[in-house]
Amino acid sequence: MANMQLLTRAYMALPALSGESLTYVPEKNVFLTQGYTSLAGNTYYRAIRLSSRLVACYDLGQGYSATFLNGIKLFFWDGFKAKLIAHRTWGGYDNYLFFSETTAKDMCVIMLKDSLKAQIKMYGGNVGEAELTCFARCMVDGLYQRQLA
Amino acid sequence: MASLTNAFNQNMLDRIMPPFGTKRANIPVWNEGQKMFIISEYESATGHLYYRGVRFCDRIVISEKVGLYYNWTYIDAIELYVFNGTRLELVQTREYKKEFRDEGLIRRDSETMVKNYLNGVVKSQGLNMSSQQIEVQARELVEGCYKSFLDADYNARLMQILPAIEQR
Repeated sequence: MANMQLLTRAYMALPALSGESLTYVPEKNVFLTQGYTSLAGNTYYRAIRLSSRLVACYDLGQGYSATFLNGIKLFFWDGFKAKLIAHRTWGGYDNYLFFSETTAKDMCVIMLKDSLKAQIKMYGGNVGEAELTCFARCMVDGLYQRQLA
Repeated sequence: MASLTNAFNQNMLDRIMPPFGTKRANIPVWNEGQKMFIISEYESATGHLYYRGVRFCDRIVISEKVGLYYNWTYIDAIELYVFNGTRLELVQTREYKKEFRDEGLIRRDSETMVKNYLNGVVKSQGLNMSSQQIEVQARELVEGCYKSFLDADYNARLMQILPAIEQR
């Protein structure tokens, strides 16, 4: 699929972007928001990955010498729109998190596993922790594979 | 895709986590990271995302209004409800202007709101309760609201109040 079509699909389907424009980076299969640079010279932007069942949105802050993971939002699809199912933030003096793909993926796995566990519980079901973690990891790995291109 | 046992089959997966283009079943969303249910999510015309976060125990309900703008998460308001039979009564509200959402702030302010409510009741009813007792009571009530839905002993019956909050 051409990049233009990809972007059109993403604009329509992705969660609220506060009007920001997107750039698709095919090598990493990630959508990046335009971002903004503060007076202090720090740049803030979002990185969004999607698969056929899941969307992950990372809030990133690029400071003087490091990139921080300020938040993660996970969405499931509800029809053609994304629905928020997990949200977690980091930041401040004693609660910051350096960004790495491994850290972000691990956090996504935990958040997705907890969300699935809760929803299965609402259905009266029960799936083992290890099995759910394995499933969540598989779903998160899927975010890093080319889905639309 | 990794497969799961009978307890979580393809049918359930499609209801909970459907593929793009398929409607999701209307199941409440528990957000373990913030220890609250996410309800009333909507996107404004300008592309900002808003939702309400609800946590409760058997005596009080705390509802947060959260706004996501660009990279930032703001707390817009906190509401405190008490039960009157099976109905909810709004007893305290607090609004914020451009305040970043902070877990510690939410908890502290929730405790203050419960404390203020209890203080008001004690004063208006002429009850005998020290400020220390009120403070301890408020802390315990708020603590009870932070119980995880994933805990085995969570009182799931309380979830019946979610639709009532959603309508407010």
